[in-house]
Amino acid sequence: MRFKCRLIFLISLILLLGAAKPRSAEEMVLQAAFIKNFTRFIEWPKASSLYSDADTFNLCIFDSEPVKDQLSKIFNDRILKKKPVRVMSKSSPEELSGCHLIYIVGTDDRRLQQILNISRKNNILSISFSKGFAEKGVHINFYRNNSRLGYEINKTVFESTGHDISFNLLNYARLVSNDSGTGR
Amino acid sequence: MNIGSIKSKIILIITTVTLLTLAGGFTAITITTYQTNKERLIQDITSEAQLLARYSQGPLAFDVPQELEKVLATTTISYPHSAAVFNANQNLAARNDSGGGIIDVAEGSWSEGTWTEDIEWEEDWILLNLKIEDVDNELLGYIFLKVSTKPFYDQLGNFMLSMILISLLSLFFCFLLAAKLQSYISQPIVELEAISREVSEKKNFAIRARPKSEDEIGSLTRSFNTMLEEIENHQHERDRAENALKSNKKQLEKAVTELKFHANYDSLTSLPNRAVCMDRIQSAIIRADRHDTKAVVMFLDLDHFKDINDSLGHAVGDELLKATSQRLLKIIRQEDTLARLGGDEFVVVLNDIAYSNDVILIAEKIINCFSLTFELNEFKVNTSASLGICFYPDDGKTVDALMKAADTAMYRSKESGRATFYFYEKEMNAIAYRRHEIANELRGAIDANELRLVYQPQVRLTDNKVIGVEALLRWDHPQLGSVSPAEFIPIAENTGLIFPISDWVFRQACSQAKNWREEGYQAFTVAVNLSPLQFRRADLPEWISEILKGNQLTTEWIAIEVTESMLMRNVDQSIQMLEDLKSMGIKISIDDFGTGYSSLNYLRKFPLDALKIDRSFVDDLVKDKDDTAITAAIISMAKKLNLNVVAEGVETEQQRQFLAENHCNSMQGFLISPGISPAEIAELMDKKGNLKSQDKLKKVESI
Repeated sequence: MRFKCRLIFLISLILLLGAAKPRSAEEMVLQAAFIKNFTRFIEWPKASSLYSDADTFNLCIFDSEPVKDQLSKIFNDRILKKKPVRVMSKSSPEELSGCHLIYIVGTDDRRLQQILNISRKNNILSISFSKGFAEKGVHINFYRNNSRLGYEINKTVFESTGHDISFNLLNYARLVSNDSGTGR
Repeated sequence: MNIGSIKSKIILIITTVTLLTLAGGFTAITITTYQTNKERLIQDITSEAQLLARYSQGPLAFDVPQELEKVLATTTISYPHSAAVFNANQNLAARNDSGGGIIDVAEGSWSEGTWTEDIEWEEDWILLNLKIEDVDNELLGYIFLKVSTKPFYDQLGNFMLSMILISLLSLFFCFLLAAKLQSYISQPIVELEAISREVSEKKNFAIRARPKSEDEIGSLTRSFNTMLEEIENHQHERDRAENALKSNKKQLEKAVTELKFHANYDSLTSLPNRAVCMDRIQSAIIRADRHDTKAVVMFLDLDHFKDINDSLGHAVGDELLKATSQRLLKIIRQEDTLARLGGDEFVVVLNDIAYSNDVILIAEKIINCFSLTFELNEFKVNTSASLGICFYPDDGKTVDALMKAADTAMYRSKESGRATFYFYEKEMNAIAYRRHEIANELRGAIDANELRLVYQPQVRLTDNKVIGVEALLRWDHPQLGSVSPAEFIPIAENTGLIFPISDWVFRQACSQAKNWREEGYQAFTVAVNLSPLQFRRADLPEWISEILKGNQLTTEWIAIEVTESMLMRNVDQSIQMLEDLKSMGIKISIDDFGTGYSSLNYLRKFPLDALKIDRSFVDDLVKDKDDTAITAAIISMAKKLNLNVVAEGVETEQQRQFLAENHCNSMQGFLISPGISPAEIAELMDKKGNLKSQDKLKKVESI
């Protein structure tokens, strides 16, 4: 897109305030707003329970109770993908099968791959806030650049999992690919 | 060009059809273009809006108004427009003005509060409202687009203008083409029409039209020629019939004219026949009633006509009738009628007869006109006619009654021995008989010495001296007694006896004057009355001169008296005659002055010596104011003209006194003396002291 670079710069400016303290309350609100917009411009694969029997949009937090509590407050009574949001905390990859979106707070590489495998199988959109996670197979990864909050997207993962992403998200994202290639 | 001609009609039809076709095509194309362009515009705008909506999703979701404004600025809409983006809460997020004006609030259907998607085509603007949604059709915001329609309508207007121009150009070329091509149809018709008009104007059915084509017009031309041929044939037949009719009509008209003539006129003499005669009598009756005059019907029958017919033949008889009609026509006036009833019967109708005595004169003329012998071919025929006369209204009131009366009177003429006339009225017969008798007896009067002259003296009022005498004619007949000149002079004039009588009178008067002179009386005038016939004699001066010479008299002894009416009949001739007489020294007086109609102006021109005031004025002198005044005026006037004035018929001393007082010169009348014999005149002269000329007396005595 012609105005892509400039947009990124602008977005970074907007997100500047929330960059001082990681996982502060303001930053969580900002991330929650991003998450909401991600759901606006991403279509889950047709096989996802999101379009069939699921009664709620299940937002799972991998292994962080405090984040779970913060997001629960933010998404309480909110609607995502036309369904009421249910924020859950999960500590083992096996528990993830009912999730629609997983926010991975912190884990090791082995556990990450387990999570991603299960995510792939269950059409779960994965989001993280850890450097290099996007290259490792997470759909969207938040990052901080000069105190500004940005996000990077691994298009290969999107293509492999069947999640359809709008150009509106790509416009503001830093695109990355799997580990084998360069980050940018 | 003639508006109603076939040429213009063809041109009009072609042009009208073209015009309608063009108009129809123009309308259809315009409507189609409008619709198509409108749909395309709406589609374009809608697509653009949808694109804008998609590009706006991100900036709207991530709340970046500057980006939104940039998105809005990237539209490819070329018309003036404005765009605005509202967020899901219907608050303005971004806007762009590219000629559509700044947008503050939602317009169109959104202004009513219901934010539904739609597109509105208003007069000046197209208003488009579109929702901005995410992938799950969740509402992100709204986009509002406002595009001006002006360029659209401008383009449409330009298109229509060029269409109209092209149409008009096409129409013009179509008109030119029609005007050129119409002659293929109209020319043969126009030529045919021209020929038909030539035929009707010249009435020449021999003209033919030349067929030029094999189409219906060619066929029409041939039919037209055939028709002309038939008309030409009919025309010839009709002309022949018409000529025959004309000649018949002429013959008929001639016959009718002849018939009319025969119905009203006698074919032999061309005089009116009985029917017309009756009509003329009727007209004469009406005229007499209107003018209060009399009408006269004379019935004339030739005497012994049957004998002439039998002895000399009908041809001579017919000639006699014609000659008779010729002679009679010369006697009657233009306004009178001479008609032939048939055989030898004629009728004369006289109109407007005022004096019965005039009829006697005409009757006499008619009887007299037969006294001359008729010379008919080699025959000399003497004949006479019997005349019966009656008057309207005295002798009959109707045409039949008058005819019967005239017929009765005519038979009386026959009975009394023919060659005469009779009135139906006895009294008229007596008058006529007396005239007849006088005329007969007058013929022998001179030879029988029955005529004599008496002289009435004229006395000068100043000294009572006799200055002259007037010679008066007297006729003493042994049986008739003394006949008045008033009665026999008109008869003498009518019968021509006036000439011998006048001659006798003048000679007698001159002879008497000579006697008086010889008796020694000083010259006094002997006045002699001239009759109108005498006055008109061209040799009058010579005649007088000869008689005077014969009696050795000078002109001082003779005066001539004429009447006003005699002078006025032909003024120039009268003046000439008077001057001739005057130059001889003869004195001239106007007799009976005041009874005629002489003009004073003429009186001045006539070389006269004296006026004699008529006795009718003198009679009433003193008694009648008017007559007294007139007499005084006449005397005064005469004096101014240097004329002597003589008063006639003075009978009283008062009259004499009045005349003397008014300076009248002289008088005559019973107061002095009636007409008396020459001896008595001499006696009177002596008594009045008229001196005799001693020298002359002596001379006479010595002779």
